[in-house]
Amino acid sequence: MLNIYDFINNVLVPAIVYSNIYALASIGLSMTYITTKIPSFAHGDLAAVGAYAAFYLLYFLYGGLWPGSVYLAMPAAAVAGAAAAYLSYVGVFRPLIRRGASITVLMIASFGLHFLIFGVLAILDSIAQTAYGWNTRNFLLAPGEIRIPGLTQSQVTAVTSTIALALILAALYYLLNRTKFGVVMRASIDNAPLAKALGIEVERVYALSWLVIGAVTGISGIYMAMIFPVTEELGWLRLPLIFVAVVVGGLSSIYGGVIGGYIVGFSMVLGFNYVLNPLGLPPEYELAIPFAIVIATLLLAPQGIAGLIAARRART
Amino acid sequence: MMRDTAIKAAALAAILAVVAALAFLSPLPRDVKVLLQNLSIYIAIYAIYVISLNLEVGYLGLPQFGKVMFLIIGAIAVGGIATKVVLLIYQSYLLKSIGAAPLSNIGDYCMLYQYSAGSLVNQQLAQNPALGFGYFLLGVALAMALSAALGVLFAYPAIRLREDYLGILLLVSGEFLRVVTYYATPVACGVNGAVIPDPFAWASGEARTLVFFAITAALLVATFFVFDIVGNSPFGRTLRAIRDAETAAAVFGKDIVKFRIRVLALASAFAGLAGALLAYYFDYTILGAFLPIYTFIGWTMLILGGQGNNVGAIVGAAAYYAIQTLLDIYKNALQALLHADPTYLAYAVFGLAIILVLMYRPQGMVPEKPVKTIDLYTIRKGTVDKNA
Repeated sequence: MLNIYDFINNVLVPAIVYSNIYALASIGLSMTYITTKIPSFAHGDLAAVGAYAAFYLLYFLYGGLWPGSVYLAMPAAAVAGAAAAYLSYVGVFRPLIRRGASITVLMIASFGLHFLIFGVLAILDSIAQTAYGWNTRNFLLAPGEIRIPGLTQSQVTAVTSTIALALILAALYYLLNRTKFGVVMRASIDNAPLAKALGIEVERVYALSWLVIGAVTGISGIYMAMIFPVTEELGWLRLPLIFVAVVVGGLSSIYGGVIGGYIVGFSMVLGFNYVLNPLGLPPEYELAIPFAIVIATLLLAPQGIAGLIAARRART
Repeated sequence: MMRDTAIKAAALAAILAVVAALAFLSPLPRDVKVLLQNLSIYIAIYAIYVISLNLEVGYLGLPQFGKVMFLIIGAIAVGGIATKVVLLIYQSYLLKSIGAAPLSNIGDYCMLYQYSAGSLVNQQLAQNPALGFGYFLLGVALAMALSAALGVLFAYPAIRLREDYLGILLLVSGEFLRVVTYYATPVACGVNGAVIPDPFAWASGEARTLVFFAITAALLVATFFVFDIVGNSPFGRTLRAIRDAETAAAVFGKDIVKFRIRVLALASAFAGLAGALLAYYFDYTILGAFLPIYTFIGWTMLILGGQGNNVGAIVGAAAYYAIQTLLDIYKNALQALLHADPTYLAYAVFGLAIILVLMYRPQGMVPEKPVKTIDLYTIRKGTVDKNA
């Protein structure tokens, strides 16, 4: 018998939290892809940087997490993510693109960057662990979530992450469509040579958009850290599914990643509850569901859902 | 061109022989020799892996980010299939000794008595080297055939698409295969990991390592020979043409998809061979361990060594292990200095190395050389001369 409370707590709430996490992480990856054409393997590490920045700030300021405090540290996550992303672009990708590197070369460089960020982060964590005795691995940021009497922590996170996603989408929409930077950025994406001819410094626009990418992804790291134990691999372990979300949503659209994130989140939770569980299959097989979806997408509509929508709009 | 490859293969064989002499017969201290033995086997296996990656990446420019999947398939072929064949052969013997047929209840076998069954089978195999060798060949052949088939199958949905889509699909496929096989007990004992009987049980201790090294080295030389011939053939030249100017190659009538499929099949087969060798070497496999990182270790070796030539692939594998071993030797000093596990430092060092090599020496340690294919004119002239 279907119990509405069970449905909300076991299906809807986790599905919304997963979806928001993958949507937030996918926005950044889509932007990376449409600005500089890199499906970056270091993308997940930006989320890990964000989560750790929040963690360290709270520990240095208050010696721990307390209710609601994660939101005090959210700007730190955004700034740290933005800084890491900016440095990746200016220090690694821009010089390579100037040398005419192919997509494959940029992908390898991004994975070198993943190794580098992972290694540096892990060394810092070990040092902090020895120096201060903090447990710097396998913790959750969930204790720092706002507490609302009568609601569980996951229910609160489902609400707060939805608000965060909505605010970020609104801010992005405003930035891209209502500001001069947005016009310049869309021009640089659509036709870089023409934008250059008009005197737009395309590389500077890309550098600024990497700041945005890093900030959004850093914030996604905080929400990842609410439900997934934080290690240096926090984002790296989610990367295959972030890629799935971006491909399913459409590699060439910022908002496609959001649709893709929701498809990944809901298909996994629904599949787990209504397919795997009744059949007695191991829960880890939930990965097979988004995988099947990405294969179907690549075979039938490689431009993704956003691409399909754009094509339909162009026809009418 | 054939002669050129033969000379290089002979040189490789000579180097491997010197390494064997140093690692097994020299008067070096015992622990140094053990280190050298392990290192030389790892390097030889990974060299096969990287040579096959090089055909895809270096020659064709195909972004193979799911390479680890063939290590998984190799491990399944050995630990999941060949092992069960051997268990079937000794079924009645095992039934008598343990009181249970191993294949009647896979769950019980994996959880309760695969270690005792494994050592009993090893005792039997020790008296039957021929069967052991047959079992070795069976695992290797299965690994290569399955890898070739699945390599094409997994890439198929994106084989017509741009390189970025293909790269992403392959990466996700590797993860998918790992998770699904890891949690399926019948494949290779799932989360318990599978015990693999030793095909060379008749040799023990250092002799077994020597036999294993000799076989791995022979397979490495054979792999090098095959891939160098392929790389310098008209086929290899077409691959480079596609890599450098895909549209131009297509205009000249080269079917890009067909070439991708052929390269994937050949390269995947040999990567599967590397996977099978790893499984046999360890006598044990646990499929959950094959994280995407092993794909990228292969890439690191290739980038360091130099893409587009098979010598670079081998040099890269050796260089990677040289750095790794150096960091290992100074492990304690680094630990005291850093207050952190030096493995993390290794990650940072390799990450930085990849970025720096891509920026300042994209050709790697051993740069690609012009193709040595004999042009049609010379070949025709040769046949005319012979006929005359």
